[in-house]
Amino acid sequence: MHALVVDDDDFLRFMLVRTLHDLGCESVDDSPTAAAGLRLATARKPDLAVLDLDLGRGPTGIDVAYGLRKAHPDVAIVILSSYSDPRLLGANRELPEGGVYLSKREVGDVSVLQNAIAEVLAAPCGRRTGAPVANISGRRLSDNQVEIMRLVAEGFSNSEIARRRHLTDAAVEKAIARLIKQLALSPGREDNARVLITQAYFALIGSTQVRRD
Amino acid sequence: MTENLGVPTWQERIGGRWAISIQSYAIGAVLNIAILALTGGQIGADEVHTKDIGAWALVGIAAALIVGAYALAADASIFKYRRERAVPAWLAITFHLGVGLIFGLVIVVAGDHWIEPSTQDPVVRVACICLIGLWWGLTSSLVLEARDRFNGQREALIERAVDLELATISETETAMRLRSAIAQEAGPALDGTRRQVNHVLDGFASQTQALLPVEEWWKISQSLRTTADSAIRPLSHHLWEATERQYPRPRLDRVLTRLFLYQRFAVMPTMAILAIGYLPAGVFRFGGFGGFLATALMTLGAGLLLLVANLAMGSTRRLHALVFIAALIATQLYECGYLAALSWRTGDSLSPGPEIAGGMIAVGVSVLLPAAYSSLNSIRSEILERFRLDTDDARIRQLANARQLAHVTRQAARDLHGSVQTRLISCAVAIEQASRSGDIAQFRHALETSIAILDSPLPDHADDPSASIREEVHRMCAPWEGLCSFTWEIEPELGQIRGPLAIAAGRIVEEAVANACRHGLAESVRIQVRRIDGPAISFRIDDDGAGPSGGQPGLGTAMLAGISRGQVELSARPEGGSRLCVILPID
Repeated sequence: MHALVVDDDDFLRFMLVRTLHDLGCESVDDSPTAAAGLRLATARKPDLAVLDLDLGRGPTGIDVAYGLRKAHPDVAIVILSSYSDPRLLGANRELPEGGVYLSKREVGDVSVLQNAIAEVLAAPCGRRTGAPVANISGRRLSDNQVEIMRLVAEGFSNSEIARRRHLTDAAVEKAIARLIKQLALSPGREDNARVLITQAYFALIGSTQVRRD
Repeated sequence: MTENLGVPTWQERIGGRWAISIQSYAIGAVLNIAILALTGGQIGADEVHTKDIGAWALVGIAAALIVGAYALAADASIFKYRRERAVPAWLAITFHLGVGLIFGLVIVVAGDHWIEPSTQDPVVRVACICLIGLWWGLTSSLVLEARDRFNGQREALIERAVDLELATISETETAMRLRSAIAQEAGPALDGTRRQVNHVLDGFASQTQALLPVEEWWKISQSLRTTADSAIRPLSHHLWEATERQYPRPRLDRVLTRLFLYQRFAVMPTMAILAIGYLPAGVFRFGGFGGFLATALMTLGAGLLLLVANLAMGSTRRLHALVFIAALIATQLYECGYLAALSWRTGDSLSPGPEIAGGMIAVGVSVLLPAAYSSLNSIRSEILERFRLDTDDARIRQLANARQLAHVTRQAARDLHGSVQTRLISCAVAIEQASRSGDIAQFRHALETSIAILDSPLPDHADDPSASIREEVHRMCAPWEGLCSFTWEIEPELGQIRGPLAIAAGRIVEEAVANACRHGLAESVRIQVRRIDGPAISFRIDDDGAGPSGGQPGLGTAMLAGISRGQVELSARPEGGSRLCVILPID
């Protein structure tokens, strides 16, 4: 079996190549960029591609996966990411059919990667539940909610979010109110709803704990 | 953006979002209960006795509660969809009259039965209170709607200014300080593990020290895992601070300052309110015709006083606040005089203290509220113009800096989380694998990698200010090669330009190429960069993708519009695919 690894971090890539060899891959190509990774795939068709979601500027791992699938429709895809939900990165594109999405934290346990690889190789384009979705107390956050959270965290005001999302100011205001309700955050006199949403966003991507003091 | 907001119709002002609001209800209820308790003689009973103040206050509270239930029922039924579609003006007016009717009926019935029967005509009393209800409802709807509109226009102005500023500024000193503060605070969290790893690496280097036994390797991997989680902690409060700095709480003192420093009195609305408020007292003391006459004279006098004050404020800009306050006090004194004259003329044994206090509240509200409404309503012509001047330089730069700080914090979050945390975990995994196979080379490699991460947790992401337009355009296309092929036509002398214009050009191409490849699924993209009159740089990006209707409208289009000051056009090409034209002014 031939595998391809695309990750912009040298050490993580080295680790993934080593782990894939240990898991029984005969040959593994690796690349720090999307462009070089796609060139490698053109030269030698991979059976399995392990792709980092956040490759810095330019295409995401999901974009690369679509590019690979165009040339090799039956390549098995595993996407790795620090984000628990790809929408939190703003990569608002569905995973390609049959792709599996793994959190990098989980890969600390090699058996998780092993199981994922076995799953995608068994049926590279099989139907799967798709990427994990951010949820609060079991309630799924909608695409619109995730995007509004992300934009609030990126420092945009209501009107600016409204322009970007092609919504009215009132609709954004309502969406933020609903988010606050769903996140079970109650802005007190001293709190700012936006600060709470930003905190919740960073808590969801795993960067901080929600500060409640 | 400001131009697109449009001017709302009267129906939208009266029957829209602010037709009912908790603020309006709460302020109205408190004021009415206070006025009722202090001046029962004017809207409740013939005379106010100090002993009855508590009883009137209770009646007021009961009336306010019933009105509250009525408002809640209206909010859930006829006004339910007012945010999306304003209710007809007649319906809103009927609702406010209804508020007055309920309040009036409760006061008349409860007052006559439990406190003191009145000799005034109950129909006249209820009618007057209906008019007061209508006045309060309409005024508060108008004031709150105007405030909302003002805020919207203000934000749109700020955003446009900030977009423009952001496109041109390079990293500020504050942003650099924040970046180094986060790095410094992340440092100590990593120190213990750094020492531990360094110690083991020293053993490799000197070869004199005994190598750590394989069983001990696990301990290092565990401390790397713990460090991975603690590295991100210092970020929390910087994140909080940066976001709060960007969204300061609105300050009441600034609103009041604006009112006292720039606003004149709204004479006609104030006179109308005073006439409605004082008519019942006048009619009671002088009968029908005499009452109307006395109220009209008093109202005219107050109007004249405010008119003179307005003229004085117009002629001496510097003394505006002084004249405003003096006129407020003079109106209050005038009203006290009128009430005293009424008592003297009819020989009533009034308790002048409470009645005058209640009257003063009523006059204060009736003079200040129309002034506040006018203040907000003159925004389009006056305040926004002043605001444009105020926000030109310092304020816009401050906001752009705040946005930049948010960006730095976000980038630090991404680094600490994506690079430090996950990479330290993979170092831990590498050490665990090495300890199973006893692979010293891999153990050492993992230790060296972890020390590199622990030494400089935050890489530098600043844009390169020395890059030229040509270099920036190529740099933004390079990551997409393999997914898409590119051709460039860049005028030679434009390609050499460096600095903020080159950074802005890079952002335009980055956004355009991402949209074409990701959403349009383009396989080839052609970029033309030319100089045009203006002077300006024109970017034309043609692709062979699904076309503008095929993909979703790019979220980056708003950013492109910000950089190019709105000169962005996305169209379908006859041969297929889409064409994006962006004009970037050179100034």
